[in-house]
Order: sequence, then structure tokens, then C-alpha cells
Amino acid sequence: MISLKAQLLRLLLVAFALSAVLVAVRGVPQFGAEGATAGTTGACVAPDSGGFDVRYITPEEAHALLGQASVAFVDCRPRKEFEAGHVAGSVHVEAEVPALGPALLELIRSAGTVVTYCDAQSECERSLRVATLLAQAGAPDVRVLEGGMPAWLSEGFPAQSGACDDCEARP
Amino acid sequence: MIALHWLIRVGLAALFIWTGAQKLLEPGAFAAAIANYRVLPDALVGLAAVTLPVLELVVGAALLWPLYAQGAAVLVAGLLFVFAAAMAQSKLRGIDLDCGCFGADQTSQVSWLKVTVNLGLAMLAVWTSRSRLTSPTANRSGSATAAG
Repeated sequence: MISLKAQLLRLLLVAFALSAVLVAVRGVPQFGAEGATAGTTGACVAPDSGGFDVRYITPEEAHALLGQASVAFVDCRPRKEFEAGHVAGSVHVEAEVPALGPALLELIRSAGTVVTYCDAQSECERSLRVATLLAQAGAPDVRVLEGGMPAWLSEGFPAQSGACDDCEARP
Repeated sequence: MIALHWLIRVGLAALFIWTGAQKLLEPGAFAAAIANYRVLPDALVGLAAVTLPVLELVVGAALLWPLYAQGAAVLVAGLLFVFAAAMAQSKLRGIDLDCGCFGADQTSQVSWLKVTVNLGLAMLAVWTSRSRLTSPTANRSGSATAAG
């Protein structure tokens, strides 16, 4: 018989050895937008919005706006990440879509303030891109969430998971 | 009682092998699920996304190998306690997320029910880890202490 300590040691060694082989063969899995590497959370810098009025908003300030009828949150991350957890009541937009659909534009126009967010990779490129589109479409007050969803979660602010019901229908 | 121990071990083994394989199929999605818990630094998320499913596969297989079943049951219990703790802190912080329990294709929300199920399974694993069993048909008189 093998002692319990020896069993644990051998099982852990096997698991770590296999993991090392997998990492060597496939590399460390990437997560977040555009395959950017981890570690750039909160790396947002002043956005280049092409002359449109796009500003940053801190998670604390955005949290204070949550639930107000005149404020819309727009999630610019891939659909799977949106479904895994997003700011409650957010609208989902694929940042790769070059134009915003009419239904979304109508929703945005009815909102006084729009807060876009992504996962803060690549200097918030996704949320900045969508924010610029929204500003171009006439949204009066567009903000980019500083640090994106990771910063929101780090502050302990609530998130919600679930299927994106209107993702398929959106143009 | 020995048959019950084996039934539990086979059930836990099947669960861990299946979930480990599902997570390994889409490591990027599993990494994103881990990141959403906000309990690991970003630098460790990718490594955890590889190591955790591999560990699940290893302990799942080892549960079926009598020589290592006891150690595997202890590790399974440890993993389940860790998963339950991660989900509980998520719920307490109001972060309502996909738990990442079954890989990317099986979206499953974090809930107190899941925390309870994990703790229940962990207790079963602890119970089975308290004995050294050689086979389902082991001599019952010689393994009276194994039944706990």
C-alpha cells in the first residue's frame, strides 16, 4: 500500500507534469478581447475619439448611475463573455460590427448617458470604438468605463449572467 | 457499504473526467470564467485554466485505481471545497456569473444551490477517502473498518 501523503504527492506531480506539457504544446490560454495577454487590466488611457465627446467614467461613478432610467450600459465584449457576466441591464454590442442597428440606436438616443465597457484589454479599444460610433450617431453623453468589466468586478459591484436574448436578432 | 463507496467513487470519477475534458476543450473560455471570479491575479488565470482541468482528469481517473483512490478522494474533496468557496464569495459580493463548472458549452449560473451541491459532494468524497478499498468484491470480513 502507498501512504496517503505519497498518493497525494504523486497525483499532484502527475497533474503538474501533464499541465506543463500542455502549456508547452498549446501555450497559456488567452482570455479577453482580441487575444490580448493577461495583465493589462485597467490599462485604459485617454481615448482618441476622433473629435467626438467621449470621456471616461470610473467604476464608482458608473455604479452610482446604475438603475437610472436615463442611463444605458453597453457591453462591447464577445457574446460568450457577456453571457458569463455583465452589468445588469446592459445592451450587448459586438464591437466588430461596423454599424449600429436601428433598434439599438433608438435605445441609445432615448438615454441621457451611455456607458460602454469591455474587458480593458488593448487600452479599451472595443468600448472606445463603440463609444465613438454612438457619439457619431448622436448620443449626447458617452462614457467609457475605466478599467472595463474587470475593474467593475474588482470593486465588488454586482454582475448578472444569462443568455443574450436579442443577440441573434440584432443586425 | 463497499459497493456504496465504489458507486460514489465511480460517480465522482465520471463527473470529474467529464468536466475536466469539457474545460480542456475550450481553455480560453474557461480562463475567462476563472477571471470573472476575481480571486486570482491575471498572471495566474491562464495557468489555472490548464492546471485545474488536468488535475480534475487525473484525480477522476485515479478514483478508479484502488492504489490511488484514497489520495484522489482527498484531492476531489479539496477541489470541491475550493469551488464552493469561490462560488460563495462570488454570491456574497453580488457577482452573479457563469460558474464555469462544465466548460464553455454548458452555461451554468453560480447559485447557493451549486455551493450546497459542491459541499455535499465534498463530504461524500471525504467519507469515501476514510477507507482503503481494493475492489468492490473485497472480503467483507477483512474490510469491516473500511466501511466506517
